[in-house]
Amino acid sequence: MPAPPLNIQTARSGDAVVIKLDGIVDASTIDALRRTLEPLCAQSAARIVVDGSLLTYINSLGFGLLFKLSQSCRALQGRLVVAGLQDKLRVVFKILGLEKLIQFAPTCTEALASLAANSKP
Amino acid sequence: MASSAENVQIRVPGEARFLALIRSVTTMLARNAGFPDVDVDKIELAVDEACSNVVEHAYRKASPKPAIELEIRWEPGRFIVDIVDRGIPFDFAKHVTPKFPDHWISGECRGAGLFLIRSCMDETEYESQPGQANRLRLVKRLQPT
Repeated sequence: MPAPPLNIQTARSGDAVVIKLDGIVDASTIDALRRTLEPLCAQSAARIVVDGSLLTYINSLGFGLLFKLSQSCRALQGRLVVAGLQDKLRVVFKILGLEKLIQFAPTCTEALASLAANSKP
Repeated sequence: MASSAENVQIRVPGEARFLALIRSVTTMLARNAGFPDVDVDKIELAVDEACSNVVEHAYRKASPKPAIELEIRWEPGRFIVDIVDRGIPFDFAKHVTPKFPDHWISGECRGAGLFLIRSCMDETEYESQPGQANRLRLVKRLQPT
């Protein structure tokens, strides 16, 4: 049985990197997500949007990784914004108390606008 | 897969790539039992977190990985999922569920699974028979409409 898919696409938008996730994040796909995001978050002043609008499932492993990496970004004067989670996944985000700890934007466009606004002198 | 109207038993390899199959079966049965989407999502999450713990912790040192057995049954007003593994037992009674978001603020980025299981389900019960099997029972009550 093949592993369930997580398609990860990386694109640049100005100074920011957009990571678009399509599929599921669970124990079978978490390593692929970690391998993509960790090097980006280790860069100084990184601006990262994790676009989760096409995610159909994410569990505590995935949210824990996003929290850890958002902290890594912050420590290096960068920012990580999670965008576009569907309502079902936002519920878990809220249960875990992450709304005050990880910046969330309703859409990728709004996430990019937020990053751009904050990077202006 | 052996099934009757009220009882389904499945046995899947204890590997992460089979978690999606477990979620699919669980959500289908919960939906058929009449749960609203919001509760189906909670049952799916709780079962996934529990089975992920088996793969990651109970079966961490096992090679090859034993199977995970799921016994799912529906009684009037109650949806019951028994997750049976044959790995390292977990001291469920001694585990103190962390508070959130304090858990994250203290620097932890793991350990949220059991909190989610307890948040999503109405009852949780763990039983370990050393050298034999561990059984986690998750119960969700159907609220009358």
